[in-house]
Amino acid sequence: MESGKKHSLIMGGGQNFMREISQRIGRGLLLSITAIPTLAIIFMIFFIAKEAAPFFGNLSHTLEFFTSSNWAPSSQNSPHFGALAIFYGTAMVTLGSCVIAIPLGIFAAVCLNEISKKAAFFKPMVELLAAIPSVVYGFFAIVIFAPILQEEGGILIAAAVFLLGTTASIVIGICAGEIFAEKAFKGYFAKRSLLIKAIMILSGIFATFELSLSAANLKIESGTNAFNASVILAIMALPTIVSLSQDALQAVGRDMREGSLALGATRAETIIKVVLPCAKSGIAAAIILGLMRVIGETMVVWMASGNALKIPEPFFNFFEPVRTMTATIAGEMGEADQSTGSDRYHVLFAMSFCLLIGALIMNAAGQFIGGSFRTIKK
Amino acid sequence: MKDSTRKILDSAFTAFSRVSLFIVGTAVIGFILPIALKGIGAFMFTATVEHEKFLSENLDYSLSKSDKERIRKSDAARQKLWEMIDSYESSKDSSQPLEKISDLRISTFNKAIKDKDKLKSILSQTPSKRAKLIKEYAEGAWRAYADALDDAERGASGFLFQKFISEQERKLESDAEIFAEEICKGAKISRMARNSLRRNFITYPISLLNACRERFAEKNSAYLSMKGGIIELIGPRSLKEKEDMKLTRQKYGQTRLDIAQRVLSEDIAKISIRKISQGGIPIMDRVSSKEYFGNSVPGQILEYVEKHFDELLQPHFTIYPGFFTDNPIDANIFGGIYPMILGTFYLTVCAMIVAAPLGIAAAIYFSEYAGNGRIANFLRMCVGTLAGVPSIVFGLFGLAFLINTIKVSDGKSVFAGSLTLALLILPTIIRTCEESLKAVPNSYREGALGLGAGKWRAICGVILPAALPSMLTGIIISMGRAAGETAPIIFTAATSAGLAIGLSDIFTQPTPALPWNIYNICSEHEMAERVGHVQYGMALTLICIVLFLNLSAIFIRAKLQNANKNK
Amino acid sequence: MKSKINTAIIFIAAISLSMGAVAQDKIAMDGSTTVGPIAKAFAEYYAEFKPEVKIAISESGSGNGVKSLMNGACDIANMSRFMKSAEFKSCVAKDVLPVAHTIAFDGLAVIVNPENKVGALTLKQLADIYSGKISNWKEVGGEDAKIVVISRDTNSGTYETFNELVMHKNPVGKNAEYVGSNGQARSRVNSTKNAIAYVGLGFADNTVKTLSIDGIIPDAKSVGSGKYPIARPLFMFTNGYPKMGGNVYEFVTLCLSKEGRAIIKELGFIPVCEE
Repeated sequence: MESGKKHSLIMGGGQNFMREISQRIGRGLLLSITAIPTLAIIFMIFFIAKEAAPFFGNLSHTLEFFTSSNWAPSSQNSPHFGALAIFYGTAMVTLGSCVIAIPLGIFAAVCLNEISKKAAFFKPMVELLAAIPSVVYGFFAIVIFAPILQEEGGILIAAAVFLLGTTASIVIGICAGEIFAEKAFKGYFAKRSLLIKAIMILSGIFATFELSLSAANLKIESGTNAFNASVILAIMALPTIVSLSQDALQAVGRDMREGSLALGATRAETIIKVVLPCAKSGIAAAIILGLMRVIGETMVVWMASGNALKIPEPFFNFFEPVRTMTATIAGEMGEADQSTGSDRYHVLFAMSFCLLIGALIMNAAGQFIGGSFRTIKK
Repeated sequence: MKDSTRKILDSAFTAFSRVSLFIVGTAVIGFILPIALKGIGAFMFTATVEHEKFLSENLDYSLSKSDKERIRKSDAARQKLWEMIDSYESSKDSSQPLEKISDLRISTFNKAIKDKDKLKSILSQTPSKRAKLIKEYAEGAWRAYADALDDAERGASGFLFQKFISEQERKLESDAEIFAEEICKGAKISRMARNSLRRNFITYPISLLNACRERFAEKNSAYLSMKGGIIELIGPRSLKEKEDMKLTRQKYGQTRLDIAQRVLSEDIAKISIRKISQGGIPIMDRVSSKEYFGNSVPGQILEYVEKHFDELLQPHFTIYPGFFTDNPIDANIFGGIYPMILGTFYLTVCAMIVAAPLGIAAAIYFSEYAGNGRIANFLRMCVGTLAGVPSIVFGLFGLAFLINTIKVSDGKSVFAGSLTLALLILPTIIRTCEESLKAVPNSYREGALGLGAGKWRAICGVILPAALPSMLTGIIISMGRAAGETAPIIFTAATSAGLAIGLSDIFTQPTPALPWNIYNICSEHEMAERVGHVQYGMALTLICIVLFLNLSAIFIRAKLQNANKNK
Repeated sequence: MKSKINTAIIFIAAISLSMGAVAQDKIAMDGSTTVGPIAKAFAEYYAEFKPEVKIAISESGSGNGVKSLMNGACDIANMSRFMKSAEFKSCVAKDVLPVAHTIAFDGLAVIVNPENKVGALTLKQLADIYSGKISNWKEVGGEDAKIVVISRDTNSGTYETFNELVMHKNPVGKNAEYVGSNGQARSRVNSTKNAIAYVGLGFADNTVKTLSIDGIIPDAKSVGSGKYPIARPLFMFTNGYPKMGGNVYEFVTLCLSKEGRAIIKELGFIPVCEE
């Protein structure tokens, strides 16, 4: 470094003192900068709690907030603050995206880390998925995916059900048939396990076929619904789940795998019985962090979920529109009259407060689990 | 379990994971491909002759020779169309009764003038009484006129009748004025009374005309609906009509072939008509023009438009790079998306300028000073927590704290938005920077300290340069995130319309920005179907910006690593 | 040394930025998405002869417009409903005196998919559909199909107008789906065969079918004369009456000029005055 030429390396006591001072000031400065995120967090919690407090102070409102689904905060005659349907919508969309994203994500991570030789090609793809802005996902959901769902939704879902069901029934048929033949019939049928397997597989495929036939007749009234939002959110959560799970899998030592393989286990057995259990805390952290992206996401659910204020009927019907917390906040906050401090304004902050607390708890859980995983890694 | 089964299960497992990875990998393509394909259509598309007209008249593009040729050809084809429309609109299918009505109007007025004295006496009554009396008188006076109108309506079928009614209405008004003048001439009659006469004398015939128009509305609405569609397709007829239009969208026809085709099938081949339903209620209905008009003159006009569609519009492939550099005109229906791109650029760069130094400083503290103490761990946890806060909460925070409480600007501004975004990307920057600092081998630190350099000097002179490449990568990737975030800027920086702002305005002015405008234009635009290409174009541009940032991060990392090796 | 150079560049950039920040003529507007098109078209027209005035328009709902006006964040609040008394009071408490400028009239068109057989509804039927009492098209003379009810978000002025004029302040039924804007409502109806929605008259184009309500088809005439039952004035609110001759003054009175009226007509609204 050229600056070294200007100063001699040996310094006098005075310089030392000056240096000490400047070091301390520098350190203090750094510390105060580092405290910015902390301050921001504290301020956010404080501010939101302050605005939410008047609402939670009213006990009957609070009770209604969590137990009723009658949401009409702007009504002048009889305002209602039942946010149950909104909570339910959030839960539903989150659950839906979990069902899609978790198996897909973990399998993809496993493949990326253990099986595929094309990881160099797929890894950037996954990263690309993470880079796409959420509003573009929302745009896709509302402009491209929703019309498709509305027009060919039944067929699309039938095809997915059929593919998934067939493969599942083959795998389950083979497994169960084998166990069944070995355990239940020791003699004659043990040698004819193929027959049992074939029966199980065929009946599985038949059931799937029936199911997908009924799915094909499904008429989706509105393309913007819980299913749409779930699928898009799942895709958004995938990169987080895949890359963090992959990190966790990588951290599992080579010796474990080699030991298992040496004992004669197949690759699948090694992965399921040895590698995954070792990486489970890391994977759990990955799932939690992926989930957080789903819960906190605003634009996609605002655009794709349909924003209907009710619990779908029946309650597991994913093809009905729902409304989530973030969409409610984004949609209504602009409106609630802030300076009058109306009930509606406070109820939205109460909702933000729930959202924030939920996010903080999940984050803490993720960090805690992930932290223990990181220490294992070391 | 048998070995063979285990093997089958093993390969099933492998296949499952491969398929999963494949799905995840191809999801990217499934997302980007349709957006990219349609997005490219925003600046490379089959244009019509209206596109060049618009560009040359509004954005000072010059017309090439082939453009002029196309305009000439299309004008020739249009000339014929306008002639057909003209001949239809001026066709006289019930001219005799119409002239009779005009004559009756004049004679009614003349007759009433002769009744001057009676009218004058009426006018001297109290206001409410005189209004009633005038009306009564008028009803008798206009009887013949009303009958003639009835006759005419029965025989009329063309467009002219409708026009005639409007004309009669206008003439009634102007005649009434002269009439009132005439009656009151020389007499001492108040202005109020005169106005009362003027208005009340013609109330009856005007209500007749209105009823007539209402009944005639169906036939007319059908033709007007189609004509409206044609004007929407090829633009207004003459220079004067064009100048009368205030909105740019009304001044030109369709500039893109795909939308022109949609206009043809939705607004010309199908028309909205007003009709009386079976229950006697007027309703709107959508019908096919071909069936409705059959072989009549409007049917022929329709046929001409459909047959000579290409000649009227002269479709040709064109590239419009101005999509990225022109201002939007008439709510994004024309022109480009320059202000949004610029706004995104400002927001992103400002957020980076704020967040990067802070992030680097915090990372230095974490990696070089903090160690693993309790305070450091708490601070670290807070960074992680901040990363997990939903982005909409950042938006609220920006609104409530930055704008309403400490007032960084007196309303939405680029600066307020950038600060919010900076806060959002700060945790990511801190984390990546800390990791890159930690990746610097300890021997570097020891070497620098061993040479007698102070800690600060060691950090600035040795450790930071060594960690710079990967730090830069992290910062640029978080810039990509800032560029794409929407929720934080809704309340703090984004407007749905506005021109590009100058560099000097960033502390005071809000700006349009790509993410918010993508939302806005695909959900809040009054002609969302008309600007589909702009929606896709914006989405593609945003994706490209983000991908460009990501790729350049990778590129910079590679380059700087090489440079470091060569040192 | 690179980092030092970088820092220097950043500093210079920051200083030059702050130096450049000088006060300028600007009009900030916020509020209703219904008034949005008018505001945008006015802004573009205005920019033609006064390009030095910066106009920024946000469309975040009528209530948000009030809030921005109250906080001094905007000069003009676009509203598709009149201010509520609570809003008025809190404005006055903040020393903001809202003045309403009526800029146009607008009817709420009730729209259905063009394939829908139903052409007319009474106000009562409409209210029943939105409260959930009527849930099948066959009950109002259409095909046997479930009605997909689409409402505007509860925060919009359009919703409040509808709620007041049609629902008489009773809440919209739970089965309704809420969309954020007029355009979204229209495109949902356009793509959904059994949907019904209400939008500002300017948004009812050929992609959807407009219903006649109580026997009246909404158009310039029936809305302007007050015959059509679901009609409302559109407002721009300013803080006090704007300084005569100032930019804001010119902007809010643009609707009275010939050009302004032409713009309003071309957008599908009804001007407040005729020649």
